[in-house]
Amino acid sequence: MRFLVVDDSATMRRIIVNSLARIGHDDALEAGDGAAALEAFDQGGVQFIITDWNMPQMSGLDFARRVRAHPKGATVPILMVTTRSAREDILAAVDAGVNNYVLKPFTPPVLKEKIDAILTSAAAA
Amino acid sequence: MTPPTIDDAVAAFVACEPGDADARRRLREILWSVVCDRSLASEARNALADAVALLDDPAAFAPAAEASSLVLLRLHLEVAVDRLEMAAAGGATVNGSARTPTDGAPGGAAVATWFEIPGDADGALIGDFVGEAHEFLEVAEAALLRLEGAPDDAESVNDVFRAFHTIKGTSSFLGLGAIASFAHHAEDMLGRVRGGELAFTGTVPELSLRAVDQLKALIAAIPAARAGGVELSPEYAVLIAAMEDPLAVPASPATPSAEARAAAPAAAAPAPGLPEGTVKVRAEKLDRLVEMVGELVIAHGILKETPAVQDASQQELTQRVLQADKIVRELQELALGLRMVPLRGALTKLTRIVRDLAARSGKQVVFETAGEDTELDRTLVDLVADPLMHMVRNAVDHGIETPSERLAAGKPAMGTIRVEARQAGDRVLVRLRDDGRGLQRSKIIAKAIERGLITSGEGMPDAAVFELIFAPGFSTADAITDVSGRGVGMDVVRRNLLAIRGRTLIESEPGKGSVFTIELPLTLAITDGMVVRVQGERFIIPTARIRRCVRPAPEMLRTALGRGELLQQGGEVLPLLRLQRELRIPGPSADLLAGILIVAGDGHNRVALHVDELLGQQQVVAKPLGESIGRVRGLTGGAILGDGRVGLILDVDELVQASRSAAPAPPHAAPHAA
Repeated sequence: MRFLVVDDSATMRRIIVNSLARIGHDDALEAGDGAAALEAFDQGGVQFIITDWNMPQMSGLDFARRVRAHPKGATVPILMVTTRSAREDILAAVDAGVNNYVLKPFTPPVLKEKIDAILTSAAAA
Repeated sequence: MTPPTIDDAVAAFVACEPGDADARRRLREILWSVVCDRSLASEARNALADAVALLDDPAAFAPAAEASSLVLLRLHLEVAVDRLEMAAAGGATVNGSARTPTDGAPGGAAVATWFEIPGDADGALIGDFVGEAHEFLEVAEAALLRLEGAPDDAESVNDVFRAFHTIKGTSSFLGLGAIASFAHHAEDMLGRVRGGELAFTGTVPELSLRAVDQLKALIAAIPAARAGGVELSPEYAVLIAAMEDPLAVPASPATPSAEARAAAPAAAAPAPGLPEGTVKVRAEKLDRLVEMVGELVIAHGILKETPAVQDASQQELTQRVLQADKIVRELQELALGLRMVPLRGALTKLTRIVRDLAARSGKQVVFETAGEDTELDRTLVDLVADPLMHMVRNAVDHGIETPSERLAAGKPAMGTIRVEARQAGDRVLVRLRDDGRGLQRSKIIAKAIERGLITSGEGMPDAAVFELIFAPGFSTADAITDVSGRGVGMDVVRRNLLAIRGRTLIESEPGKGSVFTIELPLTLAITDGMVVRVQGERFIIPTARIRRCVRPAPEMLRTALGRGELLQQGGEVLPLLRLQRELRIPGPSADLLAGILIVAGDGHNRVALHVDELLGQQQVVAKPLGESIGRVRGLTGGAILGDGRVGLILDVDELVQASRSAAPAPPHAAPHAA
């Protein structure tokens, strides 16, 4: 399964990609901002998006909305990485079309759990 | 596999034993799925989102915090279930029904032409709504003006969206169908802008402004709509059709928004919810004012204690300070008065709950309220609403009998629940009286034994038995299936009240009914406190929680095996807690006989606190300890003392709890052993 990891921090991207490898997902593209990520998504082949929330220029929420508005983006799973979890954040994430989110810091098993949960519910839907 | 529902969430919550992180993660994922259902009432989603946020917070489930977090979680769930039920009882689902008539058949479906409000609509709530809606529309209007200059400003788009969204959600609860449906269309349009699907250009800005104006006109028409109904203007249907497909409407520079807006206010008339001469002030500003006045009172108190002011030779200075003192006090009273609001809203909301519950349980209940004009600090009104709701539910579910039971007992088939509020000194009393079967002593005892709270009820006074209702764990588990007990029990009611220094009292007579009393402080801003010294530290004990102070004598003190120290006085035995030990204050262990014992707490939840010295009474402005410190066991907050130093405010209830864990015997056994 091909992942697209979007984060303005190269370190954070590395952490996520490494975590993915640890749980058996070794096919991951990276993008440093929302625009580049949209471009990468547009190329096709991306089956799962993991994006940071707080990015300059295009926030993770805006990015998620753009993906959802994209002709191929209606159902691709989007997992948001964030540091905050409050009522407003949660509702905003849902409204932007995010499938789930995971709080920093997380461990590879937690990441796996989140990914599996999304894939299971996507399969059921 | 169908998506999980709120019922699944409740079931998953019940499975959450303390310490079970896996169960909590499962619950979290279920809640997330439920939150993702955007057709749910927004209040319910808010509460569910709160629950998710809480579960995401690792600090909330550290061993020390877990118990209270689980309670909080239960409360969030309870609120969510409640709001969902209210939305269901309100007839239409919030999003669904408004959407159906127009979806797929633009312009062809039935758009309302008549605006009428059902006779049983809640007038007080509608009044609240009118005020709130005006606020939102003001915000939306300002944002629309900003957007004229900067069409890409997402924040402003959000403001407009939020206004329509909130108005839609609230009005759909209130029988304001025409408003809900209109706001829904406006929200949809802005939602598309917000989602990047539609640009804020062309006809969209103008349609948005006209929608704001139309909503104002609709709100202004509420009185007429209640009085028998009004015809909706053609603009109503025109805008709905246009907002469904803004791109199909040609941009019309011939009808500039400025003109439409200039004409609109005349039709919209002044805000009907506000009496003339009323000024609206943002709540935060008011809170800030009250806080600053509190600080002023304290600063002035410090000034008064300055030696130079107290110096007898400085008569002129002393007198001027006293003069200022009078003004400061009056200012304080005025400021606190500003934040007072009547309880009416909180009481009226109950009417509906009683009606729904009675209908569902096949009981007949008259619901009466009195003292709706009793005023309470704004911050407290919200906090009292939940406990009241719980008590009313309990009264309908457990208090009032079925009509046949009542007739058999020689009572009228129709039960009565009466809620009355009144002020008594600096406290407000809210009393809930029902004429039902009363609390059943034997049932309570049986349940408490089953729950492992007591081993036997023999010899327990009625008051102590009734207290058991408030014990954590008394009304949970199997109550999950019945209407009132959905997991949140009376212990939560009491905890919430204690958090705001409120109290609960129960009186009950078999066959005649029960009286629950909630006692609240008028305001949270200022507390009367007793300043005490423990070693070099100073603490404040809220005066309202102090029963008496005792100079200990050797014959009063006992040490019970495995139960720690006890105070025995006047036929009563109380657990004794040395604050120095409890709060881990360094220093030589003080001689019990040299200090003072302060008996604090209520009813059967009392404890004798050992302190070194009483330093006097003082009004303090309580402040939370701050996020960096977080919650500390035994303390509720801090306050600045007369000499400018900080004193910590003791949490009497937690100290009572602490004294019990030191004494593993059942709580009531000790006080009545003698």
